[in-house]
Amino acid sequence: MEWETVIGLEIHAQLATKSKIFSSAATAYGAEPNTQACAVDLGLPGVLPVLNKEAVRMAAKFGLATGSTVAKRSVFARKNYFYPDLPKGYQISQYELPIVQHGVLDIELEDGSVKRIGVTRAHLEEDAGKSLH
Amino acid sequence: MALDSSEVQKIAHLARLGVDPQDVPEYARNLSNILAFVEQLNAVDCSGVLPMAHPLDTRQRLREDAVTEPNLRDKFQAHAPKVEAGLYLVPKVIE
Amino acid sequence: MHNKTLAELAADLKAKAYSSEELTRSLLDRIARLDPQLNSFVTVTADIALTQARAADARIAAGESGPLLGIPYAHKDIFCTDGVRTSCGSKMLDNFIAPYDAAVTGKLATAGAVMLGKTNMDEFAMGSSNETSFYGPVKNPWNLDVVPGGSSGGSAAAVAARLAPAATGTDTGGSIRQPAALCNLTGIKPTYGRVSRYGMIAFASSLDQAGPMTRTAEDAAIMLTAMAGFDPRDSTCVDRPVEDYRAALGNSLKGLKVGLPKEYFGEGLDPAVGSVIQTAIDALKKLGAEPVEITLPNTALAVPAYYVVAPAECSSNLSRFDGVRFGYRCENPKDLEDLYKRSRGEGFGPEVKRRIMIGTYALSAGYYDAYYLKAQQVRHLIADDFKQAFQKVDVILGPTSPTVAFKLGEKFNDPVTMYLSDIYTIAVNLAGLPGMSIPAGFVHDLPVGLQLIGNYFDEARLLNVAHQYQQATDWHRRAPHGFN
Repeated sequence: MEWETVIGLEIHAQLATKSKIFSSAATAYGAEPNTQACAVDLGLPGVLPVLNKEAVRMAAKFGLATGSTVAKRSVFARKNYFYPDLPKGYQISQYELPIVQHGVLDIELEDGSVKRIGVTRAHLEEDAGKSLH
Repeated sequence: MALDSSEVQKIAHLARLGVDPQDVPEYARNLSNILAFVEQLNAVDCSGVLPMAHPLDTRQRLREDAVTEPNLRDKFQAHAPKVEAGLYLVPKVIE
Repeated sequence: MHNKTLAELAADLKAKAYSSEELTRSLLDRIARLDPQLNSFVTVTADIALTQARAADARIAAGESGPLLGIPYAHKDIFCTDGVRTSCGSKMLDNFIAPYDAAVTGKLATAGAVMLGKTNMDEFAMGSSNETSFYGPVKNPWNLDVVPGGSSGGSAAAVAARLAPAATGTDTGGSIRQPAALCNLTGIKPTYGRVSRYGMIAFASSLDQAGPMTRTAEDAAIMLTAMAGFDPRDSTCVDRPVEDYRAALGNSLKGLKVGLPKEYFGEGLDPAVGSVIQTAIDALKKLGAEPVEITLPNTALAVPAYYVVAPAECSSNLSRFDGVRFGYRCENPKDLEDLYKRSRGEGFGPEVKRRIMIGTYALSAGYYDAYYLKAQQVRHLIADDFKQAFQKVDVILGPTSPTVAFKLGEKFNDPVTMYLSDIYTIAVNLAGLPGMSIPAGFVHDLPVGLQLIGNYFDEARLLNVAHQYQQATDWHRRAPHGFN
């Protein structure tokens, strides 16, 4: 019997925005713990998320660069679970109708040939907090 | 759909709700009544009907990418259950 | 002073008949004297009130005027108030000192309103009787043995008992209109998106709206003008100019088409309540309104759809109460799971736990389509019913509640029966429409509320109809014995 190796990759990339995807708090690297965690990030009672335009623009640019379909209508969903680094008890992510779908990325191999990698989907989501053990 | 005690306990676990074992039968009865009541919806033909998430036909408003939030850590942590060195403390997760 | 309407008080303050500080002190005295019977306040903020009153007096002395400048109000304890405990009626937040102001809190402060305190409510706004509060039930000033309605029961009791001329409320399935009806008040739930939800502790995000509870439509118009408006911090808040809701109060009702949905006058409606509503319709006819019979065929589906959508959203919204960053944490948790389960198990009361569990079940793997998705589709059918109706009529009229206020304890152990007391109000939230309740008469010495439902952003017309009705009737001026 012959087997073909198929490898799927899930890649998380932090977008180089100045503020967070759903709040106006800074994203600077190396700050003291919780000094860039605002009321929205902490999930305080009553707060609401507001989507960052630049994050959406970057996702659309990625979609165009990979020949993907950039959705005209895209939906955010809540992924509910309990963990100490997940302040609201859910992560705002995308499930159905992600912003980017059906793209390709061509890579050049050592022998000079080109291999085409499919991009099934790319979606926007917030990063959880960080646990220190 | 009627829920039995073990299903109630499973749901309570998913929701991370401590429920006193002696209260489980009453939750089972109440939750089953509520589910039986909402199951009227099953009789409705909704084929082709879009689910309604927002009553108004609006577009998602987007925010400019600007940092406007100051550091309010001390204020936010003043009434937190347990903090140390700016961190929120919880019982050990990894043994 | 306590019997005057908000508009009358504002005129007196402007004329310097008394100061805001004097007015505030007299209401604080009344609260101290009378509220122990009612339990309508969870926290009285006397120091803040007097500071705000003096600041308002200074602004008045400097020649400033405004419809809410120096006017005391009671604030539902669901709105965050910087530096003041914001409990949401729950043990979970009994120790929560909010570190920021809700949008509504800020707007009222800017207008110069004076916060007397935070009012009692059903826990996390889940209830129709104000019996689920961690701070105990609120009594109805019209009869201390009956409920004031809920969830804004403390706000309703406080205004009905003349402890405050106005209060804030929130309405997810009737929580402004039903207590307004049961306590003889005027209350309006605006169009979804009209008032910012920022800082208002979320119950069911796609249904929640804030609004005022007052004794007259004119006062409701003044309060709503101050509370409404665009807020970039709430993505669902609509960017649309706020009208001065008083401007249209005086319009004639001649030729106004009033829709009477036959489903709102059928089985389940107490006939005595029905006949009070009929008398009100006759009064509106004398003012030139034309009743039109209409149908809202999916009315019976509203309560079941609501009891999927609201618990589903609440189960997710209330996940943040986990004992980690704020609020209640159990003693000596032995591990993380114990911390979560006991903090949440001990911090939430039985009705909140029921709804979290229903919602968790409805959203869990394999059930999402059958419950939540189906309910959201039914919601569309309900909204379409109203859309059809508003092609024929200007406003829709019916009872707010099928009965007058019921006895404390009567429905407490029977959730489904309790849920059905909101049968006429819930559809309005599902459709996102504005609705209001106004006093229309009495049955067994208890108030009956008349509900008016408007098209999207037609709050001014609802207030106009209510005001004209109140010019021709005096039900809204009746005060409960012992509190007049």
